[in-house]
Amino acid sequence: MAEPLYFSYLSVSDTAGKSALRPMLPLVLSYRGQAREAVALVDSGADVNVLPYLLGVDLGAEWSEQSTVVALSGNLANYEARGIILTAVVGEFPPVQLVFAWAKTDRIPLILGQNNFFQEFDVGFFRSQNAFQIMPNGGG
Amino acid sequence: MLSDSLIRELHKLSRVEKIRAMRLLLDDLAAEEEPFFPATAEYAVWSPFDCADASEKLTALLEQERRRG
Repeated sequence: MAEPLYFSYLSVSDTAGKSALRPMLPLVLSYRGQAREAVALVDSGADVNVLPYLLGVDLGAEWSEQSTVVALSGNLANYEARGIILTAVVGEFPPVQLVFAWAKTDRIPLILGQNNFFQEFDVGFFRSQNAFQIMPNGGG
Repeated sequence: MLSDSLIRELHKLSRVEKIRAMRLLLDDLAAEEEPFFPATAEYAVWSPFDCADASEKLTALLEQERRRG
């Protein structure tokens, strides 16, 4: 059984320039052979994973090829979004397929939500210690 | 300054007036506190919450991909 990986909360600046500690997870995303390092917000309140537009473009994805149109809520409600499947590698853990709502905006962080990041990984938040842990759940 | 005469006056107030005075003082105290969430600040909520339909569509897309490959 894999040992969990621990990560520190990172200080992230908001649009007003104020910083806050957030659980940001470094990972490698790939799509059809193209890979990019990224840092994602681990967001247990998000129903789905969300991919910012330019990161998808940087991975070589074509917007017009993605035919699954999805509607998002909150600050994302005004943006068009389409489903896309990427491969993600966290640390030394085996790669997993993550499905994202690829949103046509870059005013958002890369978000890892319930569907399906939290289905692939068990996550523990230890805010008082500025740390969180990630472990593959093995069930998929 | 909280004098004895003021305390006596407060005690003479009716129940409704006492509650009103208490609320006034509580409002004063709250206004003097450093606000935890400043009213003028904006708080972005990027979490796509309550997106069951999007979630179902993405699950179907993933299952389709897994069947294919």
